[in-house]
Amino acid sequence: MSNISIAQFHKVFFEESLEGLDAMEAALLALDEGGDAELVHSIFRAAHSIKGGSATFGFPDMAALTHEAESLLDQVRDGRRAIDKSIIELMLRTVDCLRGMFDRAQNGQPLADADSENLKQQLAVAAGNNVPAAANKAAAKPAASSGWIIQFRPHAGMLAGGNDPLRLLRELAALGQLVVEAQLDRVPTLDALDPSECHLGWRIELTGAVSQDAIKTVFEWVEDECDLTIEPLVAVAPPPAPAVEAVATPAAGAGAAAGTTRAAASSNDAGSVRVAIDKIDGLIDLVGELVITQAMLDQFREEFDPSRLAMLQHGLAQLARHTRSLQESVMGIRMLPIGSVFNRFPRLVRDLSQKLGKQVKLDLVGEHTELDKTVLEKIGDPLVHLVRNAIDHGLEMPEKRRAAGKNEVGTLRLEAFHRGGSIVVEISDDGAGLNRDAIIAKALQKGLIKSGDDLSDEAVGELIFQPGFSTAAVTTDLSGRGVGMDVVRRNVVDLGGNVAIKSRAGQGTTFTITLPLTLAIIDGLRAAVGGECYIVPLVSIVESVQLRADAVRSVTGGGELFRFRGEYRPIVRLHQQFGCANARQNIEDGLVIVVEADGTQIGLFVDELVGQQQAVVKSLEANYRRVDGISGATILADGSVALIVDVAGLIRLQSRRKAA
Amino acid sequence: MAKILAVDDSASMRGMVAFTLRSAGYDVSEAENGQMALDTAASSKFDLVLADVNMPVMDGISMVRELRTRAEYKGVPILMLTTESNTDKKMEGKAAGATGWLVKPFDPEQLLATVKRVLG
Repeated sequence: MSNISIAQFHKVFFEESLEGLDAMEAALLALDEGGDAELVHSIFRAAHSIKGGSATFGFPDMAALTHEAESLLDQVRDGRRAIDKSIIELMLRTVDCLRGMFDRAQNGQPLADADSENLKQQLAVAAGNNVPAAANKAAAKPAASSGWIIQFRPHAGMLAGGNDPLRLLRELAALGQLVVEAQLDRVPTLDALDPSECHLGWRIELTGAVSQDAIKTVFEWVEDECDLTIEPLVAVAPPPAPAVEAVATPAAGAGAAAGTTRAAASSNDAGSVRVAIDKIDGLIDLVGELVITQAMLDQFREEFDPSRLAMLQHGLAQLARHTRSLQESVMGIRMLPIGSVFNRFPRLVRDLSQKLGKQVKLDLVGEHTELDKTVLEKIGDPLVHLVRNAIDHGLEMPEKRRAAGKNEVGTLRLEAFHRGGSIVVEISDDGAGLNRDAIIAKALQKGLIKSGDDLSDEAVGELIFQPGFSTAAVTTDLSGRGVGMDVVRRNVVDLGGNVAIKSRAGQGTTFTITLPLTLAIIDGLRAAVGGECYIVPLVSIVESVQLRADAVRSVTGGGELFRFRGEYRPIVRLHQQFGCANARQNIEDGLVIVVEADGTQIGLFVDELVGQQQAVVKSLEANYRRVDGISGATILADGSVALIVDVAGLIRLQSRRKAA
Repeated sequence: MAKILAVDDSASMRGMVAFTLRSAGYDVSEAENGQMALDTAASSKFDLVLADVNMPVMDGISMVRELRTRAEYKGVPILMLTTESNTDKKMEGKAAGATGWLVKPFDPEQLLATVKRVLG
């Protein structure tokens, strides 16, 4: 059967093991905060599975490392050793090390490195089995003989355990020449005979060059369910080993565990999404409804009687409702709980705070809040940056907190929730808050503000989002990785969201990230420009206004400005920007849509507004090429294409033009 | 062909066992844990059960113990898939009613050899 390639199970093995490592890490962290015995069981199970799998699927280095981890965990599980910080630390390092090994395994690189060897040694030392476990193997030297006499008398219950004496005799027959003599002395009378029990015994003469071990292997499974003696035919070899050893080890009970119900891992290559069964059931229900509605509407094709107009309208309304629900449900498939991103923080916070000597309590709230998969994948890095910042710069050292009359343990809170059509993620700490003076000093030095400017707290907060802005006197190796808050904001803005900051001296800082529910559908306003249609995302629209010609100022360099809420804003004429013919030229004939991104407002001049609609975003880059000021395209009800305006992009273009 | 129930919480291990046995022509059903195995075994009679020891919800040993209380599973071979370090577990499994064991790691050939040995 060598045509069975074990490699085909590698992908599933990697997937489930990485999941197992995540679970192991989470359980270790929970244990660190004083968890129960069930956590130890689940950690053990994860390590045990990886050990078994890695040995089976041909990763001996991984199996050797997990073997050491497992034996240490086994001692903890059996209560032979109490769990302590050092063990947790060692296990967390094992998790990291194994992740590295899986990474290398997926790339076909050698698994073991100095780090893993070192760790393996440490685990072995901790478990107290430093000595390679080869010593006890050399014990009983197998005596070869020209033959054996085997006395085999099964206990009455052996059959019930699934071991058939016939099978054993067959296996012995495969070893050499057999002379078998049945012993019937214990067979009861017919009325007392229980056919499910074994009443026979056998005296077996086996001739041939057979080792005693080979015979023992045959009886391996039944050695505690029978009386067995194995003696050489010619009595020269060492005395036979006692055949029966009473072993009874009622170890820890079943321990029915709640928790990890693991769905079989999918092995789909191009990024896959795991979907909860109830979501799929919901979809199937909806499709069922849709089919019924369709069938109902179909009747009208045959014969349409005006008297049934009400029914047709009813049917169309139902169709609209089902289509909308179906859309929501299908979008829901891309939605995943933010918990998968939040999960990495307990470890991060623990490691960072230990390194800095700070005490931090992490609160995670709203892990079940769902986000679009793409948003979810991209929000991780900005969040990590904000969390690092909060621990590094926000939360104070314990002494300082005590002196300020605060709890020595700082609190870092990550919370996700719905607000309107958006998802909000808040990262708040109860630390020192922004250092207003330091920020102002730095901003002055960078020429971002003028001395004497009266800045609100919000305005000061905004300063830290400026490119290249960093107030940390010493760049620590934690946050100072050359990535500033400006990058955080840009990443979030690229996802169609925004970041805001609120800080109060001595009480803490809160970063609020607002994200769209999905990237695949946007609510937009349809605007006509010449003969074309553009979609302006609703989230960026402030207002639309009709301007009088005298409200517009031309400035040198060709730009136009208009006054809005007491300030002058630039006007971008979309027909000029995108080269549309036959558009309205006179500002009084069209409309100006005031839009905002990154805290900057501009006016977009269009012919007229056509209406509001949801647009399914299609990538322009994938189908054509990237165009400045356009974020994508969509298909309208009549089948024509409308382009979606990239407001932030237009604002960047505008400011570049101004600078030029 | 003989019907075999493969019980393991690890999808890769279960997949390997099932694939190997199916390739050899056996009729294989799968279960993710002891509880699911008990349910499956109630609706269909198997000629051989292969079960992992460590599983969430219900472990292999409790599963064997429960299975042996059912009349139709008296005498049916049940093998535990266990690791060599777990000598205790082998004995615990035996005490619960297991027929024998197959030590992990095993490759497809070893698995087939053992299954053939038991099913004859």
